[in-house]
Amino acid sequence: MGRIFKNICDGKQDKILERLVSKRDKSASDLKSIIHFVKNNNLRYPELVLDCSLQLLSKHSSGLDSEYHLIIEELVNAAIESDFLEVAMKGIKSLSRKFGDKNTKVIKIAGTYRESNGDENNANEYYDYILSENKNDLKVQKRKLALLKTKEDLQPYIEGLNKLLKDNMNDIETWAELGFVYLNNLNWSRALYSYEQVIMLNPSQFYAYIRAAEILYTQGTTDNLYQARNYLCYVIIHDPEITRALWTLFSVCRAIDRTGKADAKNATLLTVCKKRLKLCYEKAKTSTLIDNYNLE
Amino acid sequence: MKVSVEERVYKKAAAHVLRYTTEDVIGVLVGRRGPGTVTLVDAYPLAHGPVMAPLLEIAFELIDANKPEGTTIVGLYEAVVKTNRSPTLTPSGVKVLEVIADRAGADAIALLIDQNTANDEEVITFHARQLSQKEHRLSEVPESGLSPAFAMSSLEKVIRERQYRSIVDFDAHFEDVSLDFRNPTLS
Repeated sequence: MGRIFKNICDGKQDKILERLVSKRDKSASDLKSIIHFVKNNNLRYPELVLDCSLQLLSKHSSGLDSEYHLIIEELVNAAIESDFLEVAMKGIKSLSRKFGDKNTKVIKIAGTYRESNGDENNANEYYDYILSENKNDLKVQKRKLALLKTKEDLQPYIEGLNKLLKDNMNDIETWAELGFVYLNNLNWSRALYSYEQVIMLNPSQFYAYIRAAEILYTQGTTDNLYQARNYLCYVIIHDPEITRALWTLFSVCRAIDRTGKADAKNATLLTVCKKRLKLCYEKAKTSTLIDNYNLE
Repeated sequence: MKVSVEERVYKKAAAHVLRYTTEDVIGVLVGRRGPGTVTLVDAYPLAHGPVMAPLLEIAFELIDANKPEGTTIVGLYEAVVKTNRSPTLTPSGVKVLEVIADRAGADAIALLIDQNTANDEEVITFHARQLSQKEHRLSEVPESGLSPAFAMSSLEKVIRERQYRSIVDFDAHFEDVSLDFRNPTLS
């Protein structure tokens, strides 16, 4: 299922990555840095990882030692995601020769290869095999569940996620995924509940607060708007640079103002929001984008 | 209603789809209305994921403040991630289209973008729909000026030079305001 908030872009990380990628004549160490950065930050640049892995394997394989098969694993995952299935298959064969056909990791990767190839039945069989050896393998349970996400009727997928949560109540990723699916189906109350579970499990997941605030705004009512405002203020106190939170708070404060039931704090928060947004755009040198926008 | 589409609309919409191949994407279309015609002039990628009301509001206002002169927001484009689902608007897409139609006081246009594999090649196809502002009913556009040949020739450079990697939608912009949602390099 990947990153918790894979639907929100990683603007800042993109910039760091751009710096790493723009370097000419990359050494083996540079190529490895790029691959590790993408992996550790859960970014999604399969073609870039594929490119770096191929360069490492073709030009620097002798220096890779124990990392050789780790790089092959990254190559295979990237190739599957980029739809270069022939490359992926070669990588899988290499891993299979090294670790054997019965190795769990190899079977898992082979399963995702089958999924990518549209061969869901075989993918299911691979995952069932792994689960028969270890029914608590959460990653494989999720992979198996992900096969249901491609169907027209998402109800079995939703039921599967709920079932997974019964045995793994503290799994943030599944709560976030459930929230995301409910959101897509406009089921606001269940989406809100799911994101609030994420908040309870990890109070520093600021994007869960922002999502919850967005849902509360969408649901309407004055109480919901005030609760949304509370969530957003919490985020901004901890990180005043999150512009998504600033824009959402701006929207929420305006909406509270329109209800005619605004408290004294609302006008102050609206002013603070506008000032901070202007500062953010000035710092980013994109004030032209809001020149014709009424932030007064 | 007759719909015609300028090149940059194809480029930006397709770039958005290609950038986020594992997500549903949605964007806003601006254009010029004439008697019985709509010319789609520009596209503003909106989100790769669910669109929520507060940011939709802000996005519309920012688009209004930056769109080409003489144009209005006339519709949206949407692409659902490549799955077994038939190409149709998502529930969220329908809601956004209704908001656009109500805002404009006129019928709204939807471009559904379908990404398929045909003969081992990726093919992107566009389908036009219109939502009647009064009944909120979706139907085919009687005279869609969508030209598959024109669309593919517009996309060739976007794909070959991987220009889609630099597409910015409002999700990305609200995360990092240094990213320009107007996407001038694709205009």
